[in-house]
Amino acid sequence: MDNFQPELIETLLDDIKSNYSPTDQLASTRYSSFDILQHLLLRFESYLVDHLNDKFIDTFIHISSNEKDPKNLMESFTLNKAISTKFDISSKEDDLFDCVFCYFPISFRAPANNPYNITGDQLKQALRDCLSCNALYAKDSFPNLVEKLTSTSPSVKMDVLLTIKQCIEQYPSDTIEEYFISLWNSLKYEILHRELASADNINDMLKYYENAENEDEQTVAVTLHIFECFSKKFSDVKQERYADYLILVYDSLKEYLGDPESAKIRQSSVIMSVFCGSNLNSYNLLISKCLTSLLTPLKKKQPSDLTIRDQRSMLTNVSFMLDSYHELFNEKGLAVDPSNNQLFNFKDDILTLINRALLSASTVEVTFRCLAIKLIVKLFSLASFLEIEECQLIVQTLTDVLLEDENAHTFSQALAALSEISKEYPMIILEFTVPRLMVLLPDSSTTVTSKVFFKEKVLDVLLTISDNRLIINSVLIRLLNKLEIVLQNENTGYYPKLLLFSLSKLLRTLSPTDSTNDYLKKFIPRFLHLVITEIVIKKSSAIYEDPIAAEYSARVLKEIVAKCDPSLHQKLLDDVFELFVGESTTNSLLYKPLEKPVNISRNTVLFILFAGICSTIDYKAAKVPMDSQEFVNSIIAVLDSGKLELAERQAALQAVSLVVNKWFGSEQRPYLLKKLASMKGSEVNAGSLEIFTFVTKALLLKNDRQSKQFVDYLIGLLENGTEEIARLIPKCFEIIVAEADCFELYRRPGGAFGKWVVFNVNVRPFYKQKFVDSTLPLLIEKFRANVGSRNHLLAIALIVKYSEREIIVPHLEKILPVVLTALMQRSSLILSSSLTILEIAIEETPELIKGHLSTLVPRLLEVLRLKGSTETKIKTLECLMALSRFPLHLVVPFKEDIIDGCVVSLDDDKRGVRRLGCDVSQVYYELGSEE
Amino acid sequence: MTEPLNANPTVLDVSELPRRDDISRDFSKRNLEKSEEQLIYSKLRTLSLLSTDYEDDDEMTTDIEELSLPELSDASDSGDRPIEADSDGSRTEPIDAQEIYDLIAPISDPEHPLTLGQLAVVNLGDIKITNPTEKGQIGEVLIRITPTITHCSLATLIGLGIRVRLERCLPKRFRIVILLRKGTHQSENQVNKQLNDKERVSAACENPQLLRVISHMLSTCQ
Amino acid sequence: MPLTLEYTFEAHKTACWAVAVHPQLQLIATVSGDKTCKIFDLESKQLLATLGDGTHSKTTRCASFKPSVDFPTVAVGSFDGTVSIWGRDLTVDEEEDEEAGSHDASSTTGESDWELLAVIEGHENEVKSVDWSHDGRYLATCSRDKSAWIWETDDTNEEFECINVIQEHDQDVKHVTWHPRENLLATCSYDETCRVFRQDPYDEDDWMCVAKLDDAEGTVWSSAFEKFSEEGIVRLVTCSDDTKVRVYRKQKGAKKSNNGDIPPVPSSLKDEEEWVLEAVLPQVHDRPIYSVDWSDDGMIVSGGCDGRIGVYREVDGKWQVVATQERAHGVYEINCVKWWDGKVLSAGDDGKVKLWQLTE
Repeated sequence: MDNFQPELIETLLDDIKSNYSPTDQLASTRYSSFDILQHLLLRFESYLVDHLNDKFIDTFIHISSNEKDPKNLMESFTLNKAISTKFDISSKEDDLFDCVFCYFPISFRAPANNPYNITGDQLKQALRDCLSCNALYAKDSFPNLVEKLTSTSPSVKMDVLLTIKQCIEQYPSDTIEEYFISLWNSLKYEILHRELASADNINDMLKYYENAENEDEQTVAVTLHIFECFSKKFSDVKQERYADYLILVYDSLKEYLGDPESAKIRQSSVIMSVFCGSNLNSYNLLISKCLTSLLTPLKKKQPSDLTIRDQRSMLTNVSFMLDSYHELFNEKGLAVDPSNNQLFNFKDDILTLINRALLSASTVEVTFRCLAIKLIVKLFSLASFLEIEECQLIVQTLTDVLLEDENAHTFSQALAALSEISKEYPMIILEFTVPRLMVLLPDSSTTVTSKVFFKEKVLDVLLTISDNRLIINSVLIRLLNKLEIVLQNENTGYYPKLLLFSLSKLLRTLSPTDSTNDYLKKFIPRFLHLVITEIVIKKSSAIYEDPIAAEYSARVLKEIVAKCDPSLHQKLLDDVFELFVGESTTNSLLYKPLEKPVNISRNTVLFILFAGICSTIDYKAAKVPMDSQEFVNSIIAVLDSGKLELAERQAALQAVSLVVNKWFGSEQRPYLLKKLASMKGSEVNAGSLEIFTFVTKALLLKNDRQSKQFVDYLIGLLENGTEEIARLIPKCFEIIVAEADCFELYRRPGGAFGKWVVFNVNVRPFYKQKFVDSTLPLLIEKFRANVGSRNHLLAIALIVKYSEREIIVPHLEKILPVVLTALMQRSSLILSSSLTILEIAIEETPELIKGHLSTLVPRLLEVLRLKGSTETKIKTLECLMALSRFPLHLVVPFKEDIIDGCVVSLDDDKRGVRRLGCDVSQVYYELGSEE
Repeated sequence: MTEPLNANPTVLDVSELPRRDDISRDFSKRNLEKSEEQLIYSKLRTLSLLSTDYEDDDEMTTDIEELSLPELSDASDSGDRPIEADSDGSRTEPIDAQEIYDLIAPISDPEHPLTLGQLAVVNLGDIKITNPTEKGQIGEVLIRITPTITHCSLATLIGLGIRVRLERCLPKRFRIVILLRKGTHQSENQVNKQLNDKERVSAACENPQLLRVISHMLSTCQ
Repeated sequence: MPLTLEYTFEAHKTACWAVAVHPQLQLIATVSGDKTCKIFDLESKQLLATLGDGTHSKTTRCASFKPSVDFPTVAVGSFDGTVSIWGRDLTVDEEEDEEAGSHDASSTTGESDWELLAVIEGHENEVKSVDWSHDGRYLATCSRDKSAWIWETDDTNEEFECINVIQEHDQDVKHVTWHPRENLLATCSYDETCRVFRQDPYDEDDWMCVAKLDDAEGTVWSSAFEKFSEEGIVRLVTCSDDTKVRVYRKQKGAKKSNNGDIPPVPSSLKDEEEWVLEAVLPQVHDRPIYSVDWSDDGMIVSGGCDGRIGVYREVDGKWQVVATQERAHGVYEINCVKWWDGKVLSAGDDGKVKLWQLTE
């Protein structure tokens, strides 16, 4: 090509035109002709445009006519687009247009191996690019496209709409002006003649239609996007003609907008909202007109004549219009100028409408009232729209609704609204809502403050609206005050515990970045004093030695410790030891001295508080202020005394485990080895085994190299231990792998690059995987060696029960034979774990399952038929559900059997089982019935 | 383009449809704290070697979660405790009208992109169920449906969809009766007769076109 | 007098729609949603054959044996709109008997000795009932297409000629049944009537509607003629959606025309006979009744949606309930009841066919 002179081009083109007939040639030859033109264009574009404009176009038209090959068509479309954008086509536009449009709407499904490497969508898009690239085509494209819009095929319609959209985007606005009316007149019916899905706002509606499964519904979204494009073309307010057209759009919908009973009002509002929301000029031009129309009934009718239906319709449709404000001033961030923004003129009307719904309408009108509440949330979300006084009034109204409306839906809607508002306007909620709720909390459980509003409900509401730090601070103190009063009056534990529970939940809502430093001064001293006095000292207290009350208190302390600065932790831990071990009665954790000293070895309920505090102490920032071995020994001594209640014993075990995990280092290794040796040397009992297990758990978490010896010892006991001990070993594995609250992970920024790191527990990543990888194969092997060993099977089952899917997957192949055996067991624990494994296997390694279907399905159906536990039945059904996703030819043979087998679950005692049974049957009924 | 029939029915929002009360918001039962207590004890037992609950696991009929809890409440407490003790996880949950509603409300209307619940074609109040406690007895589910308009030609199809859904999902001991609510349809008796003619329904279910439409209607259930 | 269960045929996995009894041989045929027809021996309780796996594309709804001993033949009607005719080739059977060894295996499972003789097409949609006339010359079929057809057949059962199409009903014809000795056909319909047709003595191919029984308030599901009655008297029992069992009686002699007491007869009733509602049987059912049958010794049995079986006997001109069986098929509905040798056969939605004994 380097030697090719531009002067030769004309000869070449002539030659092609007169001597080459595309219809006589193979596709590959025809491809060359496009290729030649492409190359010419690439190298000699300006020469061609200047000297051979018409000839080049003619040659192109010549070679491209009658082309059918998809690959060549792609070339043809590309060339056509290049020509249409670069050349002067004014004399050839009709031919060039015909040359593309004859293919419209194009449909092409690539064959299986797709030899062209071209998809139908690419062809469609290339064709669309040609049609939209030059406004000269408008006079042909628009009328033709509009005509094709009447097609009944949704996919053709979709193609037409997308093409129209692209043309509108590409053509200049004066071209659009010309075709505005005819386009609008046909496109509007795409929306007006359709029942629109319900949605709270335009964006949700667009999302619904964009993601719709069928193309017919997708056309709604595209049509609305076309309207957006129309609106965006109105870029300059001086385009008077364009403005006239936009007003014409409004005029043609005006009749519907003004009639709340019209069947087209919703569709019209949606259209207008889209027009307004996509362009500030359009918004300024139209918003006032639309709202005037929508609010006509408010002006025309006497308030008493307004039907609920009218008002509902107004609320719904005004709400759509507000979306346009949101789009422009929230999403696009345009500046709000209240004096020039016409929506502000309607604010009073909108608020009147809301007040009528919430203050005068009957509470029976649930839909109506809920609509009004949703509209309130929307108003609050609009940037710079409401004045603070207006916000206050609305919150008062909402609070009234919350406290007075007994309908569950209205209530939850109002609650959700207040919770939403509390994020942005905590002060208003604190001022107008919180006090009114606090009043409803009685001072003792015998006082009745409200018949509708139980204390449980009040507390739940308080928690729901405490979505902001300021509110939490205030509610925390108020609840503590209430707790003090209640404990003076109360002789039953329920109400104080409820308050403690609420306090713990409230603190739990704090984010990890909220600092609780000031709670150490403002809250803890009163709280801890109260709790120690009531739970540990005062025998007449309603919660004296109540482990649950202690547990909730521990959670409160745990959350505060977790979120205060680590630099404060050492002092905190010192103080706790001083109080719980040193028997001091005063220190900075108490606002006044305790009546008498307490000691953790004597007052064992303190273990619960201790484990709570200890669990979130930063173990690098603070150390146990006494010898850790000695401390552990003292706890073990208490444990060995065997006098502890379940909850206290568990807390003491957790304390041991926490100390070992957090503060034992290499210097304690000999101590641990001695413990292991003494286990081996003496007769094991359940108590010592339990302590040993918790120590093992602590070591495993930090991947301590000693842990392997500990685990091996436990595995050994499965075979060497007495029968009684061997039976306990599976449970030991459960304790090791189960999640324990005391080892819950708390993170804070602190690592490199501000990474969030765990600070409260010494836990290594993948510790569980490491444990499973080394233990599970061993157990499986031993299970095979001791066929039918229930303890081995149970140990496997329990480990699997608490392990994540990724950890189990690598072992599936080895476990599966165990599972198939286990499915014949009647122990629900084993069954349930087997089913868990099976479900994972079905999804992760279907190829392992496929060969077993003919034994597996009957076995599963048999499990379903037996009176198993609810959990077993649900898991079995889930397995059957998972099987339905296998290739049809594998599962269809079992279709009838599975449907039959599920019948028994349709009459189960438990609703959950029945529901799943229905779902599984439904899936199998439809299995194989093609769309 | 013709305007679809019944273009403007009153549409209910999904959140307004009747549903079973969310337990956590079920204040009347006052079990907020109580259930938390149970959870705490169940966690404690999981991590305890000394509690003996798991050893009796051999019977399929016992469920580890359902074993009776240690007596937690002291007598003085009972005044403020929920009256309905909720510790018994094995309580049966009989099939009730709400459950029937939940089965049929999500069925799609054949011509609107909405469900029968949203269009109030089915309403909780129009479902009557007779459910003998003994499962060998025959029960009845009677549903009155409200077509969106009186000449709705699809009333039969909607009724058929409901029947197919229920025949697939209810135990065989229930006789299903589907009627149009009085005065809601021009040819009420004809439709009723057709919907409850066992033979016709059964034959209709072997009609592939019809079955496809029904499959489509039921595709929104689950 | 209770009913005691003598035997349960686990006939089908899906609903059993009907059971047909051979008038002379100890055979029954059962049909079902599984699209097959199964033949059982009532003595040995053995499954003899499974007919039509693949012949019918939809539920098989009804069956009827041709009353002949030498060449057992059964007609099976299906929702697919066709009727298939199956015959057992006795000559083949005898040959096989000689090879004793291999015979046992095939006789229980195979349809080896039953062969498809003909498939009758004609109805527009679901065939709901078939019945052979007493001499086996005619076969009646009916359908949702509102018509009942009468076919004449030859001895080989391979040719069927439609000689009459009855179109008097306004709606689906649910059931057809022949009189045990006369060429008299009763048809039941969704249009809430039961009609009786008599062969024109002067034109064999013509069938005249002689009665329209319209007391039922709901679909009439089925009917049966009394087996033996006084000379000149014909009785018919019907059951219907309105939970009633009614007995009709044709008075001796032809009805006099222009009798003032009797309302004008519709023009479609070409000839007039006087049929009166003689009795409504004591109430046993509380849901639609799908099937009735009249025994050789004058008892009536009914069964239906409520899962109940009722047995009635006439004592001094009054009908009494002599036995009821609650939940005869568990919680399932009963689709068909038939008498056989003083015992009751019932077919249910559970796919089973049960044989009941009446014990004193």
